[in-house]
Amino acid sequence: MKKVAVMMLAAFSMAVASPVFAAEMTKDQKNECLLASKGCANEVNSIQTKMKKLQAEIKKGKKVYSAEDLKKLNDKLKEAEKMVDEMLVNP
Amino acid sequence: MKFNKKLVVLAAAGALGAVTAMPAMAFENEFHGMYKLKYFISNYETGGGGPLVPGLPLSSETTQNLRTNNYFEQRARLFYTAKANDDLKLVTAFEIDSVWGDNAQGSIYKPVTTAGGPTYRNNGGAMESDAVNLETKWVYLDFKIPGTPTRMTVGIQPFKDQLKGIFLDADVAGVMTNTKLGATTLNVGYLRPYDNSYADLQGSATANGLPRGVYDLDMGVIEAKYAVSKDLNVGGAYYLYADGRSTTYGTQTTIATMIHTIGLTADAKVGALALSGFAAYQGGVFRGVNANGDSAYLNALAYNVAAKMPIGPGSFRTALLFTSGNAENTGKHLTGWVGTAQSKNSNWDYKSPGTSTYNESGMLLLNRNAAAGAGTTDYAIAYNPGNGTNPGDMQGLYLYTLGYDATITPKCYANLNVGFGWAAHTNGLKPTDKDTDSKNASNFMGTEINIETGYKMYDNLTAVVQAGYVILGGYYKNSVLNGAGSAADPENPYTARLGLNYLF
Repeated sequence: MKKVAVMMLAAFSMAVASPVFAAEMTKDQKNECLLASKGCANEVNSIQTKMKKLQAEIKKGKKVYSAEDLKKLNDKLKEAEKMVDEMLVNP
Repeated sequence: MKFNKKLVVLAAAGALGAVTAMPAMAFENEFHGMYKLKYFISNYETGGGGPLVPGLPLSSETTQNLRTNNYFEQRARLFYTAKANDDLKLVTAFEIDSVWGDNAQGSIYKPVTTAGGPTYRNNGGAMESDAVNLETKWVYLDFKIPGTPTRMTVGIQPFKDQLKGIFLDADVAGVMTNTKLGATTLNVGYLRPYDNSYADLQGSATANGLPRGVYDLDMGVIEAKYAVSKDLNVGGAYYLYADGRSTTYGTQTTIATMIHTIGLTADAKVGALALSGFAAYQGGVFRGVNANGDSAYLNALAYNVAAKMPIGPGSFRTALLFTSGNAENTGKHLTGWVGTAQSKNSNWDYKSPGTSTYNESGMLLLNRNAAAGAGTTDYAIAYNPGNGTNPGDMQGLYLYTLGYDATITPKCYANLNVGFGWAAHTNGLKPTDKDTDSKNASNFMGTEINIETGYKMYDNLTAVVQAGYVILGGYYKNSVLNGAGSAADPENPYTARLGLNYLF
């Protein structure tokens, strides 16, 4: 029974383990948090940080991302830029 | 019956995994915002807004020893977006504006004339604060219609026209669609700025007896943009302004108003040079302008050309805006460009807050430039792009501006702007020379020189200094009386602002 409990605990801990944070992505990995809001646990970005990260991911280019992914990232960057504009310039 | 222990563990792990697994796209809660604090020193600005009339800083005409106002103004904007996925989100925005020392703690319903009250929007900066002053700026749903290239934004949202804001730049309720088809982008929408069945209610529950949605100000939008190449876009825009309310413009009452605004737009890049501009026409009718039920007709024009080019450590900008104006006695033929303004309770006069802008100018005082604004302080000489106080007295405007935006170090920038403004047409708004008792010959309203410098203390925090001075032109010559009762020129307007901008 003890063995079962230990195994269950192990299984539980694996199931709830935190996903890798975006900051820990290597050069060749996709940032799923930016791309599809996956694995963003504990991650709160200011608008400037978000824009910087998006720019860095877009720079990785076709080596890492598909054309569709890159379009998505570019759209998100435009959306963030629009938000900055609206925060500061909207009357 | 004997259970296989391993199977039990696997089943339990599987169940847990199913519970905690990430969905294909997690729900995203996005919080962003900004805070601006500005300390003002100015002879005309007081923390409110509207046309800045040289010589009329308060209520009486004076030219000497205008008192210098100094005040602190702060604005916070908070944005929360609830994003189900890339194709579906709710966008909300809130705003809190206060001038330090203004009002606090009063009752929302306490009349303005009562001591200590009222406190509502644009308040709460007096001692012990605690004011009900949170404004809801936007609440709208933004979603893509499945299986189509069309996005919709539905609700109270920001809208800025393709004519650089000179017709409409405001927060307004409506339905907008955005469709991308290859190189073409099409925006089609309907906006409802006012429903007159709510007019004059002033917070009371008494209805005014009008049916809902019949005597409205309705606006229609069709905008198309076509990317001819990577460096050239051309576009067309049509805006319908259909006011079914009996509206008073200054002293003129009408039964209904219809304005059609049609514009052609273009922007291009030629090497490092960026060019943009538009040409627009307004045609319309103001019904029932006299007891006979006659109509007045509108034919107005506007155009703009702008250029920007990197030179040295920054970029050089120049732009020209023209809007046509009304003559002295318009009769039934109006020719002044109508930039929209608020017309709550069917009233549009010199006090009506503007809903049109022209930010490209870089001016602080010469025209309404929302980008250089701070909070509730919103004054400008040509406050409306039509350079008047209502559709009946638009003088029109020639505004020529030059600017240079320099990046001095990665943390420090400086912008320098010079602008010249002329009234395009002489009408009743033109001041009278108190010596000759006739209107000045000159239409030159003034020259503004301003500078803005900023230093990034952090990525998110910038300290800013702005200073602007307007040398008034011959348009204002001898238009006021000085302390001794003789004709004199009004005092040149100036503003100096020291501020902090936090953005996150």
